[in-house]
Amino acid sequence: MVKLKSNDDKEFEVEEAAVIQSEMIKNMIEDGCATSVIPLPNIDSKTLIKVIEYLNKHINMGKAAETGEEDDLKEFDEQFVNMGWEELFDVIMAANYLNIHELMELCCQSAADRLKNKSVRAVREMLKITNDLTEEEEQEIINDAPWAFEGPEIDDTVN
Amino acid sequence: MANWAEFPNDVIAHIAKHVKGIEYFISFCAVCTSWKIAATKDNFDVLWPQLPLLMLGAKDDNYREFYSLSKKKVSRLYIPEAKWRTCFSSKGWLICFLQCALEISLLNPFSRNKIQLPPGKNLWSLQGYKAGPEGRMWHFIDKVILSVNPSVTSDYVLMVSYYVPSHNGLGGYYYLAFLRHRDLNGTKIDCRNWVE
Repeated sequence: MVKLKSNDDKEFEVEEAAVIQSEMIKNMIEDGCATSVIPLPNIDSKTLIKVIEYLNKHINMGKAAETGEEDDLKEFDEQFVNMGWEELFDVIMAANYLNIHELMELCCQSAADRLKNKSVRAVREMLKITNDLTEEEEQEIINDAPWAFEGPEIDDTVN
Repeated sequence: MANWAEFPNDVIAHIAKHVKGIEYFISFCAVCTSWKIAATKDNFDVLWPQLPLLMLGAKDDNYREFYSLSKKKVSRLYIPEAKWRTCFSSKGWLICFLQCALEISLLNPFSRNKIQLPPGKNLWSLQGYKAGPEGRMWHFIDKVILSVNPSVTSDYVLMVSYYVPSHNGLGGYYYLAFLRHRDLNGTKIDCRNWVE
């Protein structure tokens, strides 16, 4: 078992087989740097619980393919990314930090899918991004591709 | 508080890579400066199959209109390079003919990359026919196809199917011309026996 500690001082025990899906932790274990608790100063407990849930479910990816549990895993993934933007943001940051390739792919795909068909203005509002393009830059985009600024406004599924 | 504009550059690029539709990718780049910087052309998967855009008839301005299947509506694109030109499309590129100058160019309507082919006069004389007055014969180009997307490799072949009327004005012949970008000499295949 490997012990992980979130930035709000909560400790979690995770099976080594599960946790080595994180390239970062795998390297630490291989280098003998994971003898006691591994502190994760960038990840809070709420996010870490989500990540561990994912790691545990995906622990036997190879086995799932053999036993026909792939659909089950796919369903889990779909449910897993069914979260708000804030939470998705935290999980992406954690997956990036821990270097968990599959989780990163899953979450980035989900983010990309949610942005589809949204106008630039809707995306800014949804993610509370301040438009810092200069007036000229913005006008250039409006000239080249005016439709980028048209599109469905925010709906309930994406908040 | 999550700040999506202040994501590390590589993370934004990672998300951009998952935005597969060209129209969505352009919108993605327009959100803010950090997204614009991260979502470079290299992050766009040119090989990913795109939903077709149907190009509508030309108007006398610098825009072309397309019906977008993904958005289910007409979108305008600013492509002054295509003005006055007869456009064919293949592999996501426009093949633009300017009849009065016998000029051919390849144009990517989104990146606005333009590849100018050598002047038609030289090119087409190799094909064994003389252009008629005012390049009249160019009216008879009926299909143009690229072998591969020029964004991927410069080693592509442009195939042009055209019709040449006979000198007495009665009947004529169909030809296929293959223009290879590398040598640009072109090879003509006479297909009068099997296309008529």
